[in-house]
Amino acid sequence: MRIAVCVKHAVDVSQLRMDSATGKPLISTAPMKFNDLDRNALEEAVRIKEKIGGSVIAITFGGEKAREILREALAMGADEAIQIVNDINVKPDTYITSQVLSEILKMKGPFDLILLGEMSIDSYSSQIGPRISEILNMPCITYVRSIEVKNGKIKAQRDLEDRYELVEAETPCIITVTREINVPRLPPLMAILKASRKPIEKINLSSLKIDAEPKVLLIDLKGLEVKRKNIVIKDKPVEEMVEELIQHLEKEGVLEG
Amino acid sequence: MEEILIYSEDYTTLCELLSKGKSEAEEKNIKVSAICSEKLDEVEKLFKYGADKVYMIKDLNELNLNPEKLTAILQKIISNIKPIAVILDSTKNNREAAARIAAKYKTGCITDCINFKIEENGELSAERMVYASKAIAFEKIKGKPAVLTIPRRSFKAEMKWNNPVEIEEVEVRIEKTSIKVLKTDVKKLEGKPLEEAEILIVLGRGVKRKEDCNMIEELAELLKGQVSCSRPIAADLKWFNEWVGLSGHKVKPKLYIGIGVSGAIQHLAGIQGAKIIVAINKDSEAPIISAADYAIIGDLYQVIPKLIENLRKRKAEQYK
Repeated sequence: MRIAVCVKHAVDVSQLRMDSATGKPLISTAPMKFNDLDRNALEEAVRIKEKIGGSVIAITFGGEKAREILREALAMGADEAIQIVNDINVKPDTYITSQVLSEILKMKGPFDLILLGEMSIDSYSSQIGPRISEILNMPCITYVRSIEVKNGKIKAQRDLEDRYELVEAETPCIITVTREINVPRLPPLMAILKASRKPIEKINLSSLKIDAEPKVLLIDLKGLEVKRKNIVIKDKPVEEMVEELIQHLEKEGVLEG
Repeated sequence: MEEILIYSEDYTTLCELLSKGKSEAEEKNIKVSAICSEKLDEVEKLFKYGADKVYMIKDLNELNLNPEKLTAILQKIISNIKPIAVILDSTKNNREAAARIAAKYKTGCITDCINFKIEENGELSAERMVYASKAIAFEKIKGKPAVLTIPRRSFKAEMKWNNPVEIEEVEVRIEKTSIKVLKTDVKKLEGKPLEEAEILIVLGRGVKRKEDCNMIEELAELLKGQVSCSRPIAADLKWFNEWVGLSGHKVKPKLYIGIGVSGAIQHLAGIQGAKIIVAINKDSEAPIISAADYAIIGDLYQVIPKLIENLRKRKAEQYK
């Protein structure tokens, strides 16, 4: 089974800071990381490969440093890695990113399975999987918390707001996964060393035939810092702490609905 | 006449989106239309909430409306009326359909908008939270139709229009879908929607056993609040079916009490709308402590019983 996994080098939101002068988030200098949910997708791909055989290819579209997550992907068990380099400085939106990934998937395909995270931790759009499915004309199963592959058929459990859905589809198929699908492995040192010797293929965005005009334009980005009172009650007998809390809440007028 | 197309399978949300859509579109002489099922009883009321026109789909089975079918229905109507925008409520299935529609028409889509507006040139601009709610992005969509998804309870449904009733029946024949639903397990959801809770008590991984929920239920009863949990408690342990957080419910109670909740960034992003945040946690380093208005550093198994005792006493005194 040939499996492709699209992975994103995303802003590490837990470490994102605001510019004290402008109040805007400092995106260009923010630490980046392997998008957690794509890591789940990669782990699932490697598990499927280990169970029924095949190969896993990791694909990312991003800045120069996105290489780091491809190294991690190789260490976790991907066989090949492709980096699409944004050499013409486009401002990628979901319209552009989904075209770019689809081009590579066509170029390197056919794949039996294409896996992605349900969304990215920084932009939370959850559009890439469904958009690729339209471009490649392939079925798409979103929000999946377990996958079973049997005789070229996929059985997957979708986690929706008010229900779980067990669905079936034929391969080739696109699946977006949720956090609960697995716990990604921490690759051993040997695997990391071995991965550092595996090649990463680089493809320039300028060599792909896509429409590079974004459809969503960012007009402004404003930091949102909610000021909290930060009153910490500690190192006292429990009764006292509780009484203190309740008095605060009474003063706030928030007790009793 | 330009048109905006709106769909939600939830009646209240449909009304909310219609009212907001109509208030934005009115001055610009843009029509607002709704998609609904023929099974809907109160179709006529939609015109009071702002609809100018209703497309009534025959044989629309709401619960089984998977993203493929919804995309097909939307596509059929879009290709006829060529709307400037398509607005859906932000459920998981609708978000998928929204992205599919945007891909089909090679246009822009913004998911989970908290506000939107129609510009003079008919383009749509919208606001949405990004970077785990640490920032708001102001964005503009190019291309027609602009596609938006909007979470429930974002706007007020207002019954203030007197639009004439105009209903068009639409028949959509859907070919076999590529995904077959074998089984559906409905989650048992307790109480009213978490978005509407005034007092919300949320338990996290610090709560060790499922039985301990009883004590928290007791606290909730005293406070007339609702109980929910963080993602691992629902998604991994399955003690609850819903959770609070960016990937679950974004809540806005006047009082949020996190019990044994450490405060992962996605969770904190989902509770930003709370007026007062209280944390009870034995770990003074837990991220929720610095995101709270009031925090008690202590063992929840000691704090909660005392809290219950104290509240009971107060109640008893009130009735004296």
